[in-house]
Amino acid sequence: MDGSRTRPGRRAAGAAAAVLFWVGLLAYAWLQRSLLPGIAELFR
Amino acid sequence: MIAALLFGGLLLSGTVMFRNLLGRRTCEAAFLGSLLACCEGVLIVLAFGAAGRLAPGLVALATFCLFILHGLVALFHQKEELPMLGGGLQRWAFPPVFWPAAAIFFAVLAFRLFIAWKTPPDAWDGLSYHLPIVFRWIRQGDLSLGGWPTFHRTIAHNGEYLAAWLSLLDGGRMEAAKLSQAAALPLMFTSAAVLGRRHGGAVWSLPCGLAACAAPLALIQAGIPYVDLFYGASFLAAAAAAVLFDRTGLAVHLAAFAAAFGLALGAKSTAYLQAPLLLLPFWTLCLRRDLRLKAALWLIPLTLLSLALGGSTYIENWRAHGNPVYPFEFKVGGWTVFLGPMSPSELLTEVERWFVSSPAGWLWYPFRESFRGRLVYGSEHGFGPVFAACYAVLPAAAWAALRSRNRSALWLAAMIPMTLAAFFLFQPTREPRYIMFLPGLVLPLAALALRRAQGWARSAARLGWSAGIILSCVLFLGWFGGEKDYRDAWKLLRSRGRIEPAEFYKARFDTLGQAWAFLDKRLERGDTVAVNYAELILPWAGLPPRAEVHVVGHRATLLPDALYGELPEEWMNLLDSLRVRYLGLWEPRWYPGLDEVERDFIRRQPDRFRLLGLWETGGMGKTAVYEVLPKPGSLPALPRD
Repeated sequence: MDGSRTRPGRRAAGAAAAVLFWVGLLAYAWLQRSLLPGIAELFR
Repeated sequence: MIAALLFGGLLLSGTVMFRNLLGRRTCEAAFLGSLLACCEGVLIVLAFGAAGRLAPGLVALATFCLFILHGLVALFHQKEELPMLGGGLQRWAFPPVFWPAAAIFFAVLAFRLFIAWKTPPDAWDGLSYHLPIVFRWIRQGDLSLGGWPTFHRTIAHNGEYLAAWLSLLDGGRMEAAKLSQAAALPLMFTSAAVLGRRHGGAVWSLPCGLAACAAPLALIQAGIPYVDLFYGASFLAAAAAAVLFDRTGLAVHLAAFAAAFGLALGAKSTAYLQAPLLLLPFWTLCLRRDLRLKAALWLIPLTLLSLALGGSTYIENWRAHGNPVYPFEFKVGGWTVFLGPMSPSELLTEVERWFVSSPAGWLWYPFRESFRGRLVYGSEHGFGPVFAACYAVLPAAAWAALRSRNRSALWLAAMIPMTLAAFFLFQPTREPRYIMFLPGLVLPLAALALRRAQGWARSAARLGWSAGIILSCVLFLGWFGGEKDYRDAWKLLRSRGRIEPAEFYKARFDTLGQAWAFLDKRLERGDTVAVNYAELILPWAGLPPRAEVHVVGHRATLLPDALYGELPEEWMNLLDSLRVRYLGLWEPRWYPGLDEVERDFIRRQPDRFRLLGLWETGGMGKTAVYEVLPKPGSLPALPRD
């Protein structure tokens, strides 16, 4: 297999995966944000 | 503490032994060492239990002998050319971007285990059967569960064996048993790390291990006496061993697969979830002609190994009832394979609605993990942000696996739909905890896609992974601080350095906790307590547990030899024959009238019972404690031993 031909595609797929990862992470953080205030309770 | 030292010693000596013996990567040696420690614990309890010699001294001695044996094998197989043990932690293998995540994870884990250690055993199923079963085994010195009132007596018990082993290493106390699932964390960590190493490369190995253990559900379960974490870790260990065997073709990796498969099979009676694990070793053997003859020779010993580690309850059920999954019937396409008095559909199947309004809701559930409409974590759910992010990456990861033409990656990508299909088709009660292995499968597959990122995308992926682990730990702490009972316990620990079990249980189980605290002051060692309901039975034995507890009902159940009396005289004679000194009656708020028959029996025999306490106001319902008085004219019952 000629690696040089597939590399740009692989890089683009990798970049897309990184973007999807951040989208998923931020979506989760936003939807579950109501849990965060509980931390302050631990220090009161 | 002694249990932690002995377990840690066994873990370390096993790791060094495998590293010297096989000369392979540290991560793989740590994986095999973790697996071996769990297997040895289970086998020790099975062996001493079968001989009726479950005693702290003997079990500790056997564990120490194994530690010495590991050390001797390691000593006689030293290889000079091996790199130092810490070689796997070099900067290229674990980039600095992950260091804050690792530090925060270990700090939060230490906090979680500290709280669990300082508070009494917690969580519903743990107090209802996981720990009561362990307590009974240790009290009687063998593994019999005759007369146990629920079906939990005949299902897989490896989680309880592990808890019993750690408890016996700690002198038979329940403190080590309640933390037994923490002993499965090294196995989960190293299994996910091995899978991450194979699919994401060296850089993604430890981050995969960290992220799998940093899931809020894993952090919660590490401190409660359930078995889901242990099952998930064993499942992942089988997956990791299958992947290693696919790469190396070594007998030891196939043996590790058989052992981990047995360990998981013996932890939960859900073979349908595990069946897809078998595909990779079979696929490997189909393509590797050089291994087929060897595998044929290994087949019988490895099957026996698997059965020894996970088949004891199935074999016993088959021998006693002709049905390995007794008391459940087993049907395939309308055809009854095994007869049993219970149908799996009799289990609490509506629990799925606690999480999602319809099965389709599971598709987006990873991003919004709610329970009964509230955004919280709990002992049943909480896969966390890294899983959600990797779930979003899943299509790209599946595509990467398809293009990789790598057997192991293809199998891992196929494992996710196969196990989920089994979960939705066969699992009667659908809760995320039953598939705790899922993050450990999804994370390494996402790493396969993320490893292709270059430049800014590579930095973003690593930074995101690290941020995800930190967010998981932070959200876990946020949930913890939002739970009143845990928050109050933490405040007491900060101010006084300790919390009494009675205080904790009163706050957590209100009327029931008050009854337990009241009874605890009267209980003497050797006393016998009877209760009318088979849930939350451990604290009836005292705080800490020291009395014998029987569940005595008023009608027959589907299980043989359950303790019950349908008529007042029968019921009373049963209490007398068991030498019951105290009777606890609980009418849960959600089962009104549950104690009505027993109350009627008591009313008919007023000279045999004295009401000691009644607690009626609270969310747990009504609870009463009675003293059982001796028969008029007879001598009072003395506590046994």
